Amino acid sequence: MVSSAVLPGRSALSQVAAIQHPVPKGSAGKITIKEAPFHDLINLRCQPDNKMANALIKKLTSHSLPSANQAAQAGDRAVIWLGPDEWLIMAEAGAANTIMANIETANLGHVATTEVSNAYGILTVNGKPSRQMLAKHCAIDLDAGVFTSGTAVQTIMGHAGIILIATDENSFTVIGRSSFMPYLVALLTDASIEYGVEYRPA
Amino acid sequence: MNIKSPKQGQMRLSDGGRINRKNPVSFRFDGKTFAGFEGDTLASALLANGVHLVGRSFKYHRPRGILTAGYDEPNALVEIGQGNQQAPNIRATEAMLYDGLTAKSQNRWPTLGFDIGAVNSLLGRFFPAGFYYKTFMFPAVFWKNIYEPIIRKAAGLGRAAKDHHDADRYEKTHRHTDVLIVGGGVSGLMAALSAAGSGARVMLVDDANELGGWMLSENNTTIDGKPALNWIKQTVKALEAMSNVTILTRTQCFGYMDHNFLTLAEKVTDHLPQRPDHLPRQRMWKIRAKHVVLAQGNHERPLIFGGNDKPGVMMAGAVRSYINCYAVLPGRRAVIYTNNDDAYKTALLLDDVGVKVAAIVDQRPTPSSVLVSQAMARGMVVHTGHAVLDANGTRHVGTLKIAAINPKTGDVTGQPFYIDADLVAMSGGFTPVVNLHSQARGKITWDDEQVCFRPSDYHEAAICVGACNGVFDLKGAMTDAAVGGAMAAMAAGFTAEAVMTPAVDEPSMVMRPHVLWKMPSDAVKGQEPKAFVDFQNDVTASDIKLAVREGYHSVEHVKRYTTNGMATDQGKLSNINALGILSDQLGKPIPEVGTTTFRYPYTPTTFGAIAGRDIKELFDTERLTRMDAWHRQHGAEFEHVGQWMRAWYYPIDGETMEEAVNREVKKTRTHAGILDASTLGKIDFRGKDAGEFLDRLYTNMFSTLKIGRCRYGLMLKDDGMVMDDGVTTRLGENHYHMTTTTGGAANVLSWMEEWLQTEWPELDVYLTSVTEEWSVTTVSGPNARKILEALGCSVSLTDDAFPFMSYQDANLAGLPVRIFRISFTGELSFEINIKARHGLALWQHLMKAGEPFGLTPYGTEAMHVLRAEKGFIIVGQETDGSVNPHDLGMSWIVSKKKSDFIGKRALERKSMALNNRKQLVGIKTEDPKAIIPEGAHAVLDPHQSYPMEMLGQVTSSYYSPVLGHSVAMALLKGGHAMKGQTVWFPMINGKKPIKAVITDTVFYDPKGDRING
Amino acid sequence: MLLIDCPHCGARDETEFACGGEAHIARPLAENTISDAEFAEYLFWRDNPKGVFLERWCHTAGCRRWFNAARDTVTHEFIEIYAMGSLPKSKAAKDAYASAWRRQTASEKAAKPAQKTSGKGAKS
Repeated sequence: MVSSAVLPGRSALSQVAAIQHPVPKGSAGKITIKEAPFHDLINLRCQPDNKMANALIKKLTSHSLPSANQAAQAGDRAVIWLGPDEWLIMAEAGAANTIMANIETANLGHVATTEVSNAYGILTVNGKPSRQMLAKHCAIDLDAGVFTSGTAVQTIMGHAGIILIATDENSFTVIGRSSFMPYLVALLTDASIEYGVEYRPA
Repeated sequence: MNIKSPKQGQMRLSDGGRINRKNPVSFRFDGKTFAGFEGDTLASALLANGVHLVGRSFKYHRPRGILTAGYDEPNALVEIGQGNQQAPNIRATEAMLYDGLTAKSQNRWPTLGFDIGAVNSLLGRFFPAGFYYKTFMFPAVFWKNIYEPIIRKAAGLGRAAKDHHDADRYEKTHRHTDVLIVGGGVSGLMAALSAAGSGARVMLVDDANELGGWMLSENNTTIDGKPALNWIKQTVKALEAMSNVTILTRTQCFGYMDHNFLTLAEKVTDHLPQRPDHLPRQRMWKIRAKHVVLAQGNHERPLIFGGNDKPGVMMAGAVRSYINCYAVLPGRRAVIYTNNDDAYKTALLLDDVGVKVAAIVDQRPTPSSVLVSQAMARGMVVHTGHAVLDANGTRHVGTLKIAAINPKTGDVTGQPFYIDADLVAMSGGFTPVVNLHSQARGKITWDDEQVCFRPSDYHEAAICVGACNGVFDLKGAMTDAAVGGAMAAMAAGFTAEAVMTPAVDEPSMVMRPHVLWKMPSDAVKGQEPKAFVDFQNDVTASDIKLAVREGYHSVEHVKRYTTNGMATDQGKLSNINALGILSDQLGKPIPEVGTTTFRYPYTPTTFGAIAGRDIKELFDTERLTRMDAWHRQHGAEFEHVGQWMRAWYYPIDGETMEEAVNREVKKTRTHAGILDASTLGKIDFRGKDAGEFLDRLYTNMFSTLKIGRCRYGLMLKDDGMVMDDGVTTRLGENHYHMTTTTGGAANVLSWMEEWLQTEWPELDVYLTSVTEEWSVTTVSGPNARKILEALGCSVSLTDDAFPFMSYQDANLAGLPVRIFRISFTGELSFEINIKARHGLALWQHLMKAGEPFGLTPYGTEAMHVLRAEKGFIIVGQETDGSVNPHDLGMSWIVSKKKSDFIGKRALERKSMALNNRKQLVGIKTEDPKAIIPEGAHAVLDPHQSYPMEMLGQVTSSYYSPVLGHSVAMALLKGGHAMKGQTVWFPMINGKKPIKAVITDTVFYDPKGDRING
Repeated sequence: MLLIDCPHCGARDETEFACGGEAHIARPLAENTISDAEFAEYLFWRDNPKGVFLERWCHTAGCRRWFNAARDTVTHEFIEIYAMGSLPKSKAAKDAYASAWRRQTASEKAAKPAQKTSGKGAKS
């Protein structure tokens, strides 16, 4: 199996330099955007009622398969709901092979894993006006009372499909296809000009 | 009260108003400098300086002044700003004044005072309704060079900035809310109190600079025993303190679409002298509301009389606004002209501030109310049962011609008399603002009692409250709004209670207008003075009558023929008056006449706000491969392939494109070439039915493919036409890897998901896109094997160990890779897939190892030449959705054994095998250097007369530097049977037709020997 | 812009979806011997009613799942959203299903029985 074994290589945003816009007077708070590179990502396909698979995932990630629009994200590994039979497992770099081998050899029925560590880029967005900023290009209801910590959705940001996860009241993870990442950084830093922003490459 | 020092405008009162006298500002209008205050609108500041004439009308270039005090202003449209910040058609009544504001009047030349175009007014008889339709008809040849330029020059009002680079920033944003309240007047505030008390998320938006609506213009009303302004202040403060309430001022709701999707335009920095760089000038809000409360109040209607458009003629309510909000006197000697009680408030206020009320002309025969008595008690002359027949004056109203009328018919019954005035405050009744309600497909009903349309049935989850709902008295409106706000919150899922309506004291009034749809006039029929119905579009009462005489009886036809209610104004003031005149002319009641549709946007909105940040580099995404930086460093020119940016060719030492491509092609054929093929679509197939699914997707078999082997497949739509092609490899028993075209990747994946989920849910197959998981580098050419070997490859690359159309996992330069031995050039080729994070590293290793072997990077253009030399098709270039496998000469790939595959039944249709279908052939030009343009049509005889009989068209055409002649493919009718025949390709622009012969599609290495190096 | 209630992700803007057109079109199998004209009823002919229409939607920007919807083409009201492979339950949608001209077509009669209520044939 060809894996990302030789690490770390270059991240999805290695071509994008740091970006900074000053914090203007009256800003609601500065936005910080960072790349979170080199997590291993596994696309998991499995029927939601597959109890054996669920138990194994819990063993491997310490999370049960989360239900719709949720991400189980405490600890090193996270499981993100993508659809009724689709999840994204996020783990530390180099972990994908072992996790996948565990699942593939477990005889769980119609279950499949595909490594997608390289197919996505990951950004973290922090700052008091994060919700306001993200709402400029995203039609999801991002109200703190609705899009609570642990909410995860697949949706559109500007012109790119993304996975958006709330990690706490003012922090988000934005996962996008790697070829869209330079666009997403340009889009989000531009949307943050009103507050002041720093984009730090990995 | 005294008038302030002449430095500030001479019409400014010494105190009062909601302006900030501590912050005087100066501004320019038509080159002259004036003074005003922060808190003024441009309109109030101009009036404070005695400037009424602010523009010329659209058709007749008549002098026009300021009619209203809000966004319903049809006349006072000006250009504001300079250079690349100049914006046309800004309503002066909405533009907040700031220091240094520069404004210009519009639609006049050379100056506002002396306007050449005003000659149109003298020629008015020749500009009747439907003028354009009647005049610019024949002859047709006149259209392009004579009529169109005239119409274009005459059309429109303001000018767009000459500098098209808009210096301002615009943004868009999204917001979800439980209750959206449009309109921040007393009704909107009451609705907000009720809704917000439930805990629902409430948004309250208003177009004005501050909340309060019309109540800010009133001076004789108390709420809770205190001046109404106190109540407004307290209420706004209370709402602002609630965390579940969002208040937006200077924000106009301009669109109401399906499923409670509404658009707002917020003027964020329009009112600031220096617009900060970090803020947008305007922001468009896209709102999704659970429930909507429309509390937009009403529009006051003008009265129709000769010269009712002259500067100095204003809406009666607007006069109160200018006095109470801005401490500005719109005139010194006023005549009130009304058909209801409301304008008496204006009369009393004018009297309060020392303006002489020369007369009150009331169409009603016997008005009787407290207000009327008060006016009389103050000694005002009230002419009941009278009408204004005409207003005279050149650039400003001067004298009014007044006469007694028959209050039922409008016929003039008395001897006309004249009164001088520089201000006419008119009121023709009130129209609830049903525009947004109607945009949202809500129904309206005619209210004969109040003489207006008001909302009846709702299409969306919405409620109209207060004056917007036809409840005109303050107490009633407040109660209506309090209940409406609570109902909205309840509909949004909250437990809500209507707040108590406070005690209200306002003058008791008769709001019902006494309407005369027939304009009182003593003029000879046909020579009535111009009385305007639609000020912005210069539509007169006579125009509507003419349209009816000419047979336009449908309200929609009259609208288009006369242009009444069109353009940016959308009939805010004119709608009911036009309907009234129409109903009178047709002898039908208004409900039977019907209404026209209120169009989006409700008020004009800048394109900037609608575009937001979707401009320039953020207009669309550019997808980059992991090797992108290398291509840029090495001087590549790029082309867009879908959203991807692909290296097109790599010119060196000043090469032309042709030279570079020729070099890249030759070097690949003689040595080796390297291509970034990362953009190819790649899909992971998993599950026990993966092979079966592929059998149904492709025309050929895949379930029988051996593990480790690759096969080319052709995918059809169910109509039998080619949809995509690519190589699919079997990685394991239940595991396949499919490649698709770059442009088709996303479509093919969703197409397959559609079949899996909707047609064959019983198949156990999971599909996952891995396009971006892998970087793909193709090394192609006779030296390809040597280069990989030189780099250190963990597997044997010999033909025996690694045959054509097979795949192996390997290590290359110590990096784990998947190598596919497949070829799109006809040369020995290896397609190396590597985890994308190492894509650039591998590319660099290959470049270094390949140097001694003449390895040359080639771009997409050379890739096209190389594949065209081999007759390999590109789906979307050789095919266009009407080409089947037989047409491509690929019948061999269509399985006869399989019981079903997508497109099988359709391929069996008789029409799919007709031998006169367009079929793919090679084309070789007689002149080896001639390159036929792609898309050129083939004919048998280039000298035949037009229209020529066309055989088909060229789909691909390139120069082959290896063969020394051009190579082309074409889809020609019955082409397969025509090989060896001569065809011609006629050229445009007098160029000679190109002669060519029909050939096989494979030009280079027809036996395919080179595939093994 | 419509607000569409994805059965998996919840209500989202129309821009996240792709409309797949008419639902419940039974796909006749290749071995069926219906005429070209009858096959065209499956391949080309689509209904376009004023009123309740049963159609397929895919939440392309979200969970990528297909589902069925009964939508009123006049009011844009979504009367019912129901799973792929099932038939609607509401009266208006059931009536729309039963009264569709397609129920009487030769191509539908030639499809496998299971395909008539499910699938793309079941494009249901």
